[in-house]
Amino acid sequence: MGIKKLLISCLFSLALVTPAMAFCPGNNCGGSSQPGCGGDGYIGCTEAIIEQIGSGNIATITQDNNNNNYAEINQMGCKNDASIQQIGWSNHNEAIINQTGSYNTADINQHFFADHNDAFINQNGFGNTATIDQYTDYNYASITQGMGGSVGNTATIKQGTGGFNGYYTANITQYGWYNTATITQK
Amino acid sequence: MINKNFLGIFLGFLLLLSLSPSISFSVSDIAYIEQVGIENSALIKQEGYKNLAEIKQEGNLNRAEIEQAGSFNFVSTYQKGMENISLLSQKGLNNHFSNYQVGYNNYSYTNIEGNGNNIKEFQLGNNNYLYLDLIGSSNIIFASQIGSNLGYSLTHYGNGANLKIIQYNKFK
Repeated sequence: MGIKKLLISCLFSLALVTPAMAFCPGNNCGGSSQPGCGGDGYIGCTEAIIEQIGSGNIATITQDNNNNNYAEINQMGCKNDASIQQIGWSNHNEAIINQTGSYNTADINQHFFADHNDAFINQNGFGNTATIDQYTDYNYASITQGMGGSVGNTATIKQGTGGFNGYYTANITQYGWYNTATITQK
Repeated sequence: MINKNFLGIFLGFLLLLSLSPSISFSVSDIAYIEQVGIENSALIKQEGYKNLAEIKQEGNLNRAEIEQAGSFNFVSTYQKGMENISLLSQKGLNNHFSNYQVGYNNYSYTNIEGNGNNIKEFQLGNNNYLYLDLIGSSNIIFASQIGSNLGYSLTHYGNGANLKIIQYNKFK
């Protein structure tokens, strides 16, 4: 009995972190989702995936000054924190955060001259917070919280700084009670 | 001779059809919030050109708020449930606005400052209230309320407005 309890406790408390960083070798990476990758001066074409099971974990991915990148964080547990930053001259990037559990935080920043980027956050649980911040044009942001019913989630999307062309799209979908959704477009 | 009850319901359905919550205009920006549940809050702020904002809420005690400062904006709000609140503030040119509320004890307040606005509002249920403050020119207003204990308040400053307000006391 004691061994079983210890085993179960370990399974829940152990954070299984798998930072799969598959950098693009040469001229072939990303498949059809990353057109032009690795050719004609494109810099980037990286792919980063982090998966964590457990509570109180922190995952961060930064892809700086690159194009055609892919970042994904999957977390299962409570009080986890996930952050993806695709910054600099970063175009045609995709960022995804999936979290299952409660009191989690997800944050995606696609900043500076970063066009044609996509950002997705999916959270199942209660008391979660999701934020997407995109600076320039032709970007897409989507947040879904509380599939099947939930309580007390917060979703925020900010797009643009007022000095660019726009062409933003922002979607927030929430289910349950006492949720808050905010979209700001400039 | 056309039955008055039938005429009222028919006009209501015509407006209902014209207020589809899905807008298919070709615009540059899109902000969309959908919430299903109780005591949820949605806020959209837009500054710039050619923006589209839409909020869809199903449930009770929800709050939808949209603030637009710019031009060529479209807005659509859809609320189904009880004791919901819809708030809109528009400042700009060529704005369109559609408000659709189904349920009881719902409330809508709209403040529009600008030119070329086209407003459509529909409420189905009892104890509902519409407030509209309109400052501008060439505005068109079309509002329909079906239910009992209804209220409609319009404050209008400007030229060229074309008003059509229908209140049908169906549940008397």
